[in-house]
Amino acid sequence: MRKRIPDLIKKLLFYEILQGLALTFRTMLKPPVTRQYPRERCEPKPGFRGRHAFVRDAVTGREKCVACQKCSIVCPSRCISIRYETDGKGVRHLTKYEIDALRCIFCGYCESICPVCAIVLTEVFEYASYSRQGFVYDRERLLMNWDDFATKLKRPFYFNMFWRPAGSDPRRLSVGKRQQQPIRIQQQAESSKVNVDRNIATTAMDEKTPATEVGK
Amino acid sequence: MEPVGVAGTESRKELTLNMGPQHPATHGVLRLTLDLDGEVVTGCTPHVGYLHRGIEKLAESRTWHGVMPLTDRLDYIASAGNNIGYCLAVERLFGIEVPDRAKYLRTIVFEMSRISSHLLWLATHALDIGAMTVFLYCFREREWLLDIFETICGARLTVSYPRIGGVLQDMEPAVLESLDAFTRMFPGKILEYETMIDKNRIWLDRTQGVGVISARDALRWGLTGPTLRGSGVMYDLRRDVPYDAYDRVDFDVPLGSNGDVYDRYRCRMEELRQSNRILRQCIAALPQGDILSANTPDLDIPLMGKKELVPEMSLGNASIAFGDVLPVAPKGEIYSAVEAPKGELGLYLMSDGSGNPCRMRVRSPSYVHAGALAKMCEGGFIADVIAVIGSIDIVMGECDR
Amino acid sequence: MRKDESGLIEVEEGVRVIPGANTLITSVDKIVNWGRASSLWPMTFGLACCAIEMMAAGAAHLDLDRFGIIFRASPRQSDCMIVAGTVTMKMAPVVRKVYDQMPEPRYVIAMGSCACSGGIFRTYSTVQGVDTFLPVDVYIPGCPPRPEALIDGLLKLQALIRGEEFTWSRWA
Repeated sequence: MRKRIPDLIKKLLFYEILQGLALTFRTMLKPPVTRQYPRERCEPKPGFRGRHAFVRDAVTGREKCVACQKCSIVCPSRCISIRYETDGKGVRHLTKYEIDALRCIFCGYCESICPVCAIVLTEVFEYASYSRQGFVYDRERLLMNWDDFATKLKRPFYFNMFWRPAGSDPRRLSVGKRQQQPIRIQQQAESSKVNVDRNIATTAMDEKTPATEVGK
Repeated sequence: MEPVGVAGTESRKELTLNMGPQHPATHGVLRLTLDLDGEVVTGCTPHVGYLHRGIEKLAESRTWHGVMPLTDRLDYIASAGNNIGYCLAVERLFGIEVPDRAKYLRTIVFEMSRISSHLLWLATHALDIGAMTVFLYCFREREWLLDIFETICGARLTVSYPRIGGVLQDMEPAVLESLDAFTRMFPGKILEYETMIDKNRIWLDRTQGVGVISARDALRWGLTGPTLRGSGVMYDLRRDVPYDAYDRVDFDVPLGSNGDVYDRYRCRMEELRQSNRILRQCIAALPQGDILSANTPDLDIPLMGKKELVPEMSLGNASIAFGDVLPVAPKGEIYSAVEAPKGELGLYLMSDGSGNPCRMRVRSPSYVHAGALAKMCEGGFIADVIAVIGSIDIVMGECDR
Repeated sequence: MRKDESGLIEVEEGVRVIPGANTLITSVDKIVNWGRASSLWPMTFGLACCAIEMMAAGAAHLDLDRFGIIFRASPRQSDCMIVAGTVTMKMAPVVRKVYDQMPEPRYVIAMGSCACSGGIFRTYSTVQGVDTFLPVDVYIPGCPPRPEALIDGLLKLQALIRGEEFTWSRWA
């Protein structure tokens, strides 16, 4: 009986509901957690798997892809399409590279497998569009995506977490991945501008270097 | 059924109501046909298959690694759990030994996804019953965990962080500190959710005595996970068939008694606390070491990995030629199960020596629980059906595959 | 252009307009478009994983209510349909039926790889893109797209709505 009176009073006065309401009012007085999206953009964490891009080679200013087709084979969605030609010396030259961004599941396998760190998933995620046509990315478009990403990136250097995952055994990585250095973004933005102005892929200096180098 | 009578006579007719695939409270595309006698449900038939995407068939044409993103999309709320279930099955099949640090990291990620899944369950369950504030509070905590997932692997929801033989990459100390801060603040938040609804008379009225299933019936219907433990049957794969680091951490498994919606709710709330406890212990006891087994096959090599690692390769080997002779994967089949947040997630894999799984079968808890819906909804009202669907925590991606 | 007896101006062969109606009509268009874009009520059509990110966009960290976007469960009361997730062949007639029940003006947003193109599920049971049977206005790529990407897509839809022009009558 003694215990029942306080219980009865609690029941009549809606005690537990008032407790819940007190919590809600306390939370109302705390600062809100809402990010005002179009004005306050949150930066995605480094390594976020967003729009695809070809990394521009610092030397040639073009893509580094060697047409090994590993990305195309490993892609679970089969969204990468590659065509290449082999020249007299047996070196592959890329003729077509297409990614269907609307098929892609952004798993990051292509950037994990690429032995020369050519393809990356950048941190750009706001690229909704009114039509489907713009979503099949060819080589030129992938390079433009990289330039676009380079202008938006706020860090001075870019190093993709899939190139050398923390704790990975270096013996399992390809040579290209082991030797890849963080890319300085300011230089990338400038060199891409230079190449776009001149509309040529290589500079006079590069014509003297041997053709069997990786990336050519 | 009596025929419809003329005016003035009493008659009773059963109504069949369709709770269609598009419904705010069916947690995805579940369709229920309810046989109603007034407001009382006399029969309930679930129609599933509205999200059947052919994941199992698709897995037959992918490599062992290529199936991982597919498993992400099964129970998309706790995707790391599905990944770990799949990895464990492949490792047991091929005899790949996972290093200790990777085991602890996997346990951390599994418990993070369990907390994330239970938070989403609470959010949607409470929202269906009418407590909308809990939805916002749970998503606020969930964002913290999703941020950590984004830091370690680049994606918030469909993570693919566990890999065959270990994990994708190591967790930096900053990430572990952030996780530690989460474990310190989380028990206070669980108290907040309980303040809102645990003793709330409306909640109690809507969940106590609703959707009751006895222990014997639960076992006969094949229920697992918190849905089974709410009926008083102690069966938890983390304790009974331990994997990863679960045999090295202390945790309790909450048990209900009545088998109603309220007991299942209490089980999951206690599981939130226990998952927090496991996270704390794993972070404290994380050993140093490798994160990937030496026997893991490479991403592009669909078969068994190299037995010994190749020494320094020269620059000229940057692009490999295809047509190399590769070792053959062993043949065999295995069934391996983990304690997913929804229940027992089982994977049956069959390897025929080629580079693809020749058959992958997912024993999903949601499919089995959808079958038991009929039993739990009988005799209740239509509003109770909503409460029961919420309490079995059904995810259609897993149910339909 | 010549005026005829009724006071209408013929601008082209067979096209007659009320003189000076344009100034009024553009203002009315603007007001109506502002109203429609600022209170876009989507229908909850969460099918699979993208639905979770849609819920996260509606939750505390990125409030969709700031934009006037309230999720309505009934198609009769909604303006747009965010198809979030994989559409299978079993579900496609349901999607079409629900779309047909929406009153005009109605818009469709295809969110995620599966709704845009079928995604990874190139299988016997998956529809390869919701635009095979629905007119889609905005495509949002991602798997799943971030909640911010969904809001970006919704803002693009709002921009589309604000640019719309209507034919209010035969003569204006």
